[in-house]
Amino acid sequence: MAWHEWPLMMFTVLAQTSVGSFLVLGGILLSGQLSLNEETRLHKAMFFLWALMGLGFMASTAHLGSPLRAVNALNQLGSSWLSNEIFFGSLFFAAGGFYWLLSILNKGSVQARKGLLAAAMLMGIVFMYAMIKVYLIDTVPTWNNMFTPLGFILTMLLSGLLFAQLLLAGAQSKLTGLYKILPIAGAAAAVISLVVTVLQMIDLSSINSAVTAASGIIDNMQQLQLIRGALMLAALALWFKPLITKNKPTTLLLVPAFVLIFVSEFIARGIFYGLHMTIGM
Amino acid sequence: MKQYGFYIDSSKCTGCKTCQLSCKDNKDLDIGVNFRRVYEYAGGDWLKEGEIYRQSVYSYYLSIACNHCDQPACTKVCPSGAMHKRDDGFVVVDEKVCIGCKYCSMACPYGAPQYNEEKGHMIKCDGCYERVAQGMQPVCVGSCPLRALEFGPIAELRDKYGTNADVAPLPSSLTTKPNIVIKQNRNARPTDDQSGHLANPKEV
Ligand code: SF4
Ligand code: SF4
Ligand code: SF4
Repeated sequence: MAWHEWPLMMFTVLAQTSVGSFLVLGGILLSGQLSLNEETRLHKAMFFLWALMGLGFMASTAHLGSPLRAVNALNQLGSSWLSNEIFFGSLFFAAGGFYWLLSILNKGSVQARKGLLAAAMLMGIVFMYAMIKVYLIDTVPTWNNMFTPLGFILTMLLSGLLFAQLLLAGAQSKLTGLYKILPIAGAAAAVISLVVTVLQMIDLSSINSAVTAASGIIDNMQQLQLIRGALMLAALALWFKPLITKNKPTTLLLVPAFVLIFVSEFIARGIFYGLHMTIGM
Repeated sequence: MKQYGFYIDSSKCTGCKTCQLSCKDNKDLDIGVNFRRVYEYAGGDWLKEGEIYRQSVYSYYLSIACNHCDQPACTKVCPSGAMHKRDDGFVVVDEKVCIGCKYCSMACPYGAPQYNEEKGHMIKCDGCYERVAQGMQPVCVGSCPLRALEFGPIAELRDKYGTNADVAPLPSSLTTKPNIVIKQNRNARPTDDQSGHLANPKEV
């Protein structure tokens, strides 16, 4: 495990959660299925989405040795994926935050706001793409494979969908159909995530340098994966409970569910950073 | 474009680490921060020959700093441009620009970039480019009691000693095109070897 990378673990999981849920909520807002009152309540609830994203950016600066020079991170825009990631992440934050502010204050035309919302969603997607590319370094064999994009997208789905549902429930949305679809999509993502994890653990045994065997880098891998899987299943159980008891999902249920899935993804990200090695020494 | 490089004679090197320490002294480096690192690669086993067992234990040393590569993995990822390749071929950190994101050290397969906790940014072997510009040699080279290190224009070193830059535990030289020439120890194992291990992980 790489606990010392906690700033990056926080940043990536929080960003993927924010963008994932923003894409879902943005899609719902664009589809125009919400009543005006629901929309207002959802906008208010979305404060927490930007709080998460802001927290993520704050955590990311804790990773820097010289945070006061953080703007230099943009110097190699175009050629360095880390520069690209920060750039599109900031654009996502700015465009999305501006949309949110206009909506809360009820300023600007509906068309302009919708345009801004769509632009922010697009920036979010490019941001996620850049975040994946940051870790596809050809000298780092444990990252430079399909498990990096898979893991990142699955975090967007698992944590993002659950957070979207939490905000919808908080806004007392009446889209009951979604209350079914979201947990089912989340369960599908969880199944895929578990299968992907098993495949990755098998794949690790084929990655070696002269001095490092990928399968031996993290010695308590099994325990970590078990804890992570258990937390994920517990979150799913809470997420599904309203479906089974035919009740409306409440924030009282979804907040602990989200915390569980977040911790689970946080551990998974710790394993990811812990698996760093190079093709050399 | 000019390009300097190191010649590393692994057949002579005794792993004494004078090179590492003279550099440390010259650059005033902290414990755990090493511009030049001496890797000990070791392995071996019991071999059964008829009714008797013989051992095949081996170990050899490789003194590696930064290879001032032609295709540096470090500069490719650096977001600030602090890690850059100069016109004289040296790959150097601009310490006034570096933000300390450690991305270069994640990418370099030779372990060259060294994070300086106190300064909050990356530092690394700069090839003693200031000394070289004055016609002197890098500090490590002159300090080696075995004369196992040489420094000069890489073309000259390659004329003299050949072009090999591959030996375990180094990665394949095709990835970053390092400017080093290695004379192999008689026990040398190939780049993709799995039979040995790093015997001194805490020293590098
Ligand atoms: S050895 Fe590493 S730090 Fe030095 S130039 Fe090559 S990739 Fe960069
Ligand atoms: S630590 Fe400094 S030199 Fe290394 S990649 Fe980051 S900004 Fe560049
Ligand atoms: S000073 Fe010379 S012999 Fe000693 S470790 Fe360095 S290269 Fe090897």
